[in-house]
Formats: sequence, structure tokens, C-alpha cells
Amino acid sequence: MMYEMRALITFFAAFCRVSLSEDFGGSAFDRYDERLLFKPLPDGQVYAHFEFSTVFDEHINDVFWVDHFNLFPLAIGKFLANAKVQEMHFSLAKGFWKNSAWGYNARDAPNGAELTVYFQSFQDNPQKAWRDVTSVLSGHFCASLNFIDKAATVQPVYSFKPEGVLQNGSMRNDLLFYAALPHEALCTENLTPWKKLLPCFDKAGLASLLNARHIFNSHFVSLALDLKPICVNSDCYRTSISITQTISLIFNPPVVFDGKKSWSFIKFFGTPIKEVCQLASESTVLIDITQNDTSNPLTFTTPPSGLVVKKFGEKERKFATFDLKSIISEYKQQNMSKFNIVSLYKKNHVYASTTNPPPVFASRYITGYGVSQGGITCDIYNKLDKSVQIVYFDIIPWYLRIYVHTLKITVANKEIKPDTFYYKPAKDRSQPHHIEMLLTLLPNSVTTIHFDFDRQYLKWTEYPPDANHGVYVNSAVISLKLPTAQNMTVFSETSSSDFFLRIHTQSLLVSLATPDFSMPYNVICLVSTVVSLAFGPIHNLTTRKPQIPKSDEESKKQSLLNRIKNFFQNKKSHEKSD
Amino acid sequence: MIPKKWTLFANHQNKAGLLSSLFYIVVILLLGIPIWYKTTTPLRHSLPDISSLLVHSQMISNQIEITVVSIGDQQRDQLRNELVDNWKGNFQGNVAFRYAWKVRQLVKEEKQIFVASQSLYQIDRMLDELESHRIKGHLFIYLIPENTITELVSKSVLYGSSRFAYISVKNDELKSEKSNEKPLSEIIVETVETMLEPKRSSKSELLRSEASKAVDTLTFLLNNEIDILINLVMEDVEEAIEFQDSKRFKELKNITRIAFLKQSGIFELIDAKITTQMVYYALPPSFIDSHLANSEKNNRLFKTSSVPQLLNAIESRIVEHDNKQSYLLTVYIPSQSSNSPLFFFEESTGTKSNAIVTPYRGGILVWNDADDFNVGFKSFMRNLIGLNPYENDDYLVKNNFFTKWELDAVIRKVTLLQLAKTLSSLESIEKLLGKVSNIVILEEIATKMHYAVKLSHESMDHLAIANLEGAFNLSCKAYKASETAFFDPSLLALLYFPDDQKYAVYFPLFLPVSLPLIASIHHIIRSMNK
Repeated sequence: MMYEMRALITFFAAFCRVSLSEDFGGSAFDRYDERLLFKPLPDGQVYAHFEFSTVFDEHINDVFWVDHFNLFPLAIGKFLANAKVQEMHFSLAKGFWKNSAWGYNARDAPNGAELTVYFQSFQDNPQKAWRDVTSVLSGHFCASLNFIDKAATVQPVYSFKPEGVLQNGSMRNDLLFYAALPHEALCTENLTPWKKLLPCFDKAGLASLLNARHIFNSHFVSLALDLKPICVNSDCYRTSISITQTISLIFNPPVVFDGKKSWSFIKFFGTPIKEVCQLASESTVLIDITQNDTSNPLTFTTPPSGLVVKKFGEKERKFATFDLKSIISEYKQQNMSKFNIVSLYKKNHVYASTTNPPPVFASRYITGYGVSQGGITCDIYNKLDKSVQIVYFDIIPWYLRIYVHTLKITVANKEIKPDTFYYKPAKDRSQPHHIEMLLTLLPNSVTTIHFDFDRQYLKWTEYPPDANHGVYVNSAVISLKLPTAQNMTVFSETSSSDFFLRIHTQSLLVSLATPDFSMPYNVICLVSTVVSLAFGPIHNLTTRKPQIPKSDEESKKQSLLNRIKNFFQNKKSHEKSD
Repeated sequence: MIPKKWTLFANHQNKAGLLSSLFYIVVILLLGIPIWYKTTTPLRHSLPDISSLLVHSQMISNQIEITVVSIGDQQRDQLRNELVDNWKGNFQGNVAFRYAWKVRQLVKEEKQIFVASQSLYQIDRMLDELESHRIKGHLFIYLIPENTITELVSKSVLYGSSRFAYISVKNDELKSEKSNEKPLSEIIVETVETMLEPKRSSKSELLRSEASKAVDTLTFLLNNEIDILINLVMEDVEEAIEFQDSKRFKELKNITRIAFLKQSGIFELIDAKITTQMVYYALPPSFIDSHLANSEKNNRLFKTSSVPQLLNAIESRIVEHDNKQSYLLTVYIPSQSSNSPLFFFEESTGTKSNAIVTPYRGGILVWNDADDFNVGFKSFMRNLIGLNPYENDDYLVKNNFFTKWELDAVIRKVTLLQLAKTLSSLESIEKLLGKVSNIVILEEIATKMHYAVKLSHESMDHLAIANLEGAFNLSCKAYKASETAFFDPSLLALLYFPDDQKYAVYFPLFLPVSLPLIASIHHIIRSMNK
């Protein structure tokens, strides 16, 4: 027990990323920076990561009184003041980020929407504020976040700790909310409002490259908005608010450009950079050239402004940098108005198994068959020579009734126990299953988490449109602190010691037993028919008195049926006699 | 005594059959039909009596307390008789006013003020400090002997910044100093009418874009809450970066935050919030130049027909925050260093202006000269609450947002508008229920409607006893209640069964069941008649 407690405390310290020494960057004024990182991937694809960060020189509790907005978006300022938000992380993504092929994303996001909000300590009604936040954000980003209800919301216990500065340094669990919508689609209507939050919109600077027609042609798109309070200086006497907007894209030049690896701004985004955003203090394009293959080296038509070499852990990373502000001012002096980075390779791409698997990754899938029972299995791979501690976080919708007694964590067919385990069972229509555990991954091992579930019948109005498509289950989230920067996407100024990582597994698609939706009408008709058919004879039986039939002759005379019979019989006898 | 028919019935040969026929009919009548009716009929709580509210609203009379104070020794009794007998009220326009006249001498406190003060400005300010002179809707007319006060020399009537008007009169006569033809009582009544319904003169309008000729801005005031969003668009980005440290920005903050929000008295009417934001890169670089009319020397003239494009470009750039209703004022600041001043130019009439009102949305203002924002913002705010954009010459205090009597008049207008809207919302619900028979009225909605009716009646009663403040507070609540009832989503949730389905779904049941039942009824009637 003591050991568990200690492990927990050290772990919290590792996951609360409130390190005063590193989380400052604001000056006494608002500041806006933009960066674009290109990372050529071993399989010939190119990872482009845009990062726009605005620092607002205001304490987060005082935003309510702010009545003038300069670089910081007014809509977000008003929103966080009204809902008393301390910290918010929001992402929308299309596609699944392949950790095993592409390395780690600089800002990982699951398919669909994901939202984490931590409220200020004087928010009296966090439940209502959470509802307000989801509806306001769904309006702002044209996303269906209003579908986040009680049945999709959890309050994480070990994961998703606030990353920014906290008041009094302590966090309250009742103020932290998390929800994800794996079926939410990302499209242009989400991108435009997201771009409008940037001070230069898409009129100037790096954001002018964000051309919806081109970026949605990529293999993976995710956009995110992270808002947190940060320290202004190292003593953290004052804090300011940082809003970071990121877009991650994966392009596949060899596939799109006939086997050629070369790419350029115009090829990827359909436009060069025509104007620099004058509001940006820094506007840089970084190209990670660490993996530059000597037999087919990457060169540029425009020479980079600089080269940065930095050690992350044991390994060095090299970046070619382009300082847009100075480059474009030089261009203007030479009467040139367009800046395009063109990368050149001498040879075409050769497909080979050059991928370097990351140290920790996971794969999650559904097991079993039929629409009655099933199971979920998550394999977590640790390729390191050291053991690694992780937090596993999983939300399962209430309509998959999971059996905790079937939960098995195995390493090489040997069952192990989690360091700490938290489980909150689901309540029908109001709460999902919430599983969190602290696990130690053994060196060079595959840890398998498995549990079984029953599929619940839904009410016929509760099925989503196209019910036979199935329902989506959120991806599981694994948080850990890596001892190495291997496969991580880093910027030139990322801290060289603290490699916090959060990865998302695949989201799942589960088929549920679906009813025949015309059934209620059929039932009404059928029951009505049966009742009415039964009613006639019963009514007759109870209201009529059986009577002895009258004498044959008399009754024959009277009976209509007999008269008809007689008519035909007479006719036949006439025919015979003829 | 058992009726003869019943004894026949008792002796009937198929007694059991008859009894069961009766049983079926009783079950159908007492159980079947009520259940069917209950499950297919919408739940409706009783609605309030809206016709009585309609009648009451047509008979609203606004009592106005008017105190005429004469300084000097005029014949007050004669004036009093003339006013009370001949000017009972104004029943001509849409709104009926009933005047309650009081003609008196200076009271002790007023006397002290008049003796101690040097100028009319000072008198005006000090009178406003008296508690008895601060009642909303109450008007004071001071009859001041000619040539005693310098401000009144050139004018016969001056309107104060509070609820007072000053009329210059000849010492011994009950006549106004300037207009000898008109009797004083008539001038007093004209002054009162102006103060009750400030007139809009057509000359001093802000330049409007064509679509917005007759937009009633008063609808902005119905909700008692408004977010005024000022978008600062600067022609030159480099100047924009330095703008926030400039004198102009300080002036903007002072005018909007201090002069308007704190000192103008607007909070008595509406809860206004002002937020400013810098909007960068709103317009394409050559946008303005491509929409210029044949320009004037030293000035750029922007065609008013291109204003919609200008506003679209700006509005597609900004993100509106979550609010109940917003008023968007765009302030365009031309480059100080490289470009000449910009004006909007109406080609058909040849008029030039630096401000344009847009319907239901706000407006756009070009800040060329130092004083442009001060004048422009005041005009926009006056226009917002339905007043003349510019002050008239006969106002005592100039460069003021609004006078108190103007605000009172607007409050009265808003009260009446809220009462009218409450009535029309409630009437709409009633008419809708008549048309669409499947609408459900929950108890909560019915309670809100009753509440709105009750408060409306009370508000009208307050107007009749000259309590404007009470009437305004009540009408706000009534309006809010009626609006929440009208826009409640439960009104949209129709009952599941429309009329055709109500019968169609049960038809396979009704028809076969009804045939034997009809036979039973026929049987019973026949045996009773035997």
C-alpha cells in the first residue's frame, strides 16, 4: 500500500507538467508566434506541423474584466471568462495517426473530436459550465460537440492533469472534464472558424498556406486548440494565458507526384507565401533533416537561414530553419513577392522497410463475433530495455456492459496486476464505464489488456442514423514519460530532458443488434387485427343464444344460401334434362 | 317503479346476451373511448385571458406630472386655470398622454439654488441634485423672467440636461418673451410635447445604406442587454501595432467606457457592455481604392453602393462571441501617413458623410479627424436608442450623450413597445393553438403566460399613475416571460399523433370491433321496442 502511494505521488509529479522553469515565454505584452515544422518520414511521406501561439498578458481569472482584445481572439476570451475555464484542450482529427510508421505526433489527437476542460476553482457549478462549454464550442467550431452529454463525459482521475499553472498548485478532480466523439468528422466548416482565431487570419504568414482544398487531400489532418495559463517569468509571480493552435498533416509525395519524393509549398498547399504576418514576433519554417539520407540527400532551392543542431537525450537532431520575416523583407527589396520552399531529391523514392518502430505504442481491437457478446483487447508494446510506467485510460459506452471480473492483464501469457486500478461502472444513459490504471510495462514486452462485454439493446429511438453501420467507441489514451526522445517530434527549442507523451489507440466500431425499425407500426396493426378478429366471435358467443334450428323446409325457404344453392341446382338439372 | 320497457327487457329470453351486449357498450364508452382520447389528445394547461389584456392595452393612458414653476410675480392662478382647463392631455398620436399640472412658486431649496448660482448650467446641475426633482417621467418647466439669465437671451426655450426646461417670459405678462403671438400656455404645452416625444428631424440623419430606410432601432432595447462590439480596422498594419499606445486609443477608451457607460445614464435603460477588438488584415490591400467614386481633392470618396461589400469583408473576418444580442460598430482608421481622409459618398444625392448606419447590425465610422470618433460614437448611440443622431441647438448642455428627459421618453417608448410585444407574443400563441391542434402547453409555459399577463396589467396601471420606473421594470419582466414562453422548444414538440394517424393507426381495430357492437346496439333497441 505504501509503495503504491509513493508510486502514485511520483507519477503525479511526472504528469503535472507545471514545471516553472520551462513554461514561460510571454513578455509583458501580447505576443504571437508562428512556426511550421516539416519532417520527412522514412516511408517517403512528409509530416507538416503548424503551430500558432498567442500569449495574452492577463491573469486567467481577470479576463472577465478585459474589454479590449488585440492579438488574443475575443470570442475565446469572452468564452473562457464566462465559463470560468482555467485550461482547455480541444482537437478534431480525420484519420488515424500511425505511431509505428510516422513516429509520435507533436500534438496527438484521436479520430473525431476530443475535449478536456479544467475549470477555475471558483466555478460554482462545473456541471452546468461543462454543458455551456460544449454548446458554445460547437457553435464556434461548427462541430457537433453538443452531442457531448452525461453519457459521454467522465472526470479523469489519473490522466489529463492540467498542464498549465494551477492556483495554489493543487488540482480538484471535480473541476476536470473529458469527452470524446470518435464519429465526429473534420471538414472545411471547422477549419474556417479555427483560422479566424488567428490574428492574421489566412491573409498573411504561415496560415495563408492553410488552403482547405489542399490540406484535406492529405492522409491525416488534425487541428487542435490548447489554452492554458503560463508563467510570465521564472519566479512565476505573474501568469499570462497561452493559446496554441496546431494543425498536423501527413502528405504522401511519392504517391501523389509519380514516385518523386520532392515537394514544395505550392505542391502541398497550392500557394507560396506572399506576405509575412507583421504581427508575428517570430515566423519560422523548420525542416527536420536529422534523417537526411546520404545516398539521396534532401536539398533546397532556397538556402536555409540557419541550421540548428540540438541534443535530445542521447541523440542529436538537425533542423534547417527559414526565418520568413527576414527572407520576405529581402525578397521585397529585390521586388520579388512570393516565397516558396522547394525540396529536391536526386532519386525517386525506394520503398523499403526503413521504418523505425517507436519505443512504446499500442494497438486496440474488438474480439469475438456475433452481436451478443464481445471483448476489447489492447496490446501495448514496449521496445525499450527499461521498464516504463504508463497510465491507461479507457472510456466504454454504457451500452457495452463490460465485466470487470474478466479483465486480464497479461505479459507473455502470465497475468500481472496493475499498480493502481480505478473503475467507475456505467449507468444506463447517464454515465460511461470509466477505467484508468497505472501499469508498469516490462522491458521488451507486449502487455495485453483484455475484458469481455455484453452488447446492450437500445431503445429504438436511441440508435444513430444508419444503425447497421455500428457505433464508435473512443480510443484509449496512454500517457507516459519516455526516457528517450526516439521517434518524438520535437522543435528546436523543446526541452531536452522531459519527454512527456500522450498517445491514442484506434477507436473501435462495434455492431449492435439492430431492430426492424418498422416494427412498432407492424405491432400496432397486427395486434389490432388479432384483437378485432378475436373480438367478433367472442362477442357473438356471449351475446347470442344458441337456438334449435327451425324445421328443414321452413329454414330452407328462408335461408339465402339455400336459395342460391337451389338456384344453381335447378339450373344444373335443367341442363341435364336438356 | 321499473319502467315497462325494462320489465320487458328483464323477461327477455336471451337475458345473458343482452347483459353482455350492455357490458361491452359500457366498457367501450367508459374505458375505451376515454383512453383513446387521452392518448391522442395534446396536454394543454389553461391559458390566461388575453382579450382583457388587449382591451386594457388599447386604453393605456400615460399620466405625466408636470410642475410649472414661476419665478417672479406672474399670475399663477390664471396660468393654472388655463392649463388645467384647456390642456388635459394629448390624445392625438399613437400614445395617449394625460397631463397632471402643478403650477407653483419656487420652493425654499430652489430659491437657494437660484440665488446662489451664477449661470443656468449651474442651476441645471444643482436642481438635478434635489431628490424631489429626480423622479423618472416627471417634468419641470421653469418660467424665467427675461434678461435675468444670459443663456436665455437669444432663445425663448432651453432644454436642460436633466428633466427641466427653461422658458423666458416677460416680467409682468403671461407671455413668452420672443413669440408674442402665442400664449404662454401653448408654449409650455409645446415644450412638454417635445420632451415627451423628441422628434427626429430628417436633415440630421446619419447616412444610411439603401436597404435600411425605416428600421426601428428600438427593437435592440427590448432585451435590456446589449453587447456593443467595436471593431477597429486600420488601413495600415504597422500603424495598427502602435495604435494601442496612441492618444486616439486613450480617447476611445474614455469616451466609450467612462463617458458612455458610467456618465451618460444609459444603464437606467439597458445593460450595455462595450468590447473593442483590433481586426487585422480585414480588407484586401487595394479594396478601398477599387471602390472609390471620382475623387475630390485631398479626400477619397467611397461609394455607398459598395458599403455592403466592405461590411461583408470585415464581418467574414471577425468571430462573434457568445452573447444575446450585439451591436457591431466598425471604426475604420485611414492611414495617417500615406493616405488622404476617407468619406462615404452617395452618388445620387451628392452627400458626403463619415458614418453609415446598417440595418439591425450597427454601423461603420471612419475616423479621419481627431474629433470624429467623439461625434460619431455619440450619434450612433443616440441613433441606437431611437433619438436624433445630433443634438438640437436649444439644448442647454452640448456634447452630451443624452439628456435625462430624452432617456425618460425612450424608457416610456420601450415600456410601451415591450407591452405591445408581450401582447402580440401571447396572442400569437393563442392563434397558433387555434390553428395547430397538436401543440402541447406544459404547466410551466401556462404559468409563464399567466405571469406575463398579470405583470402587463400591473405595468399599465403604473403608467396610469405616473410611475414610469415601476412600469418599466414590470414590462421588462412581462416581456421576458412572454418571450421565454413563446420560444420554448416544448411548443415545437408536437404530439406524436397527427389527426389522420390518430384514426388511421386504430382503424384496423375500430372497424371490426364496431360492427358487432353496432349489431348489439341494434339488438338492444329492438328488444326494448318489442
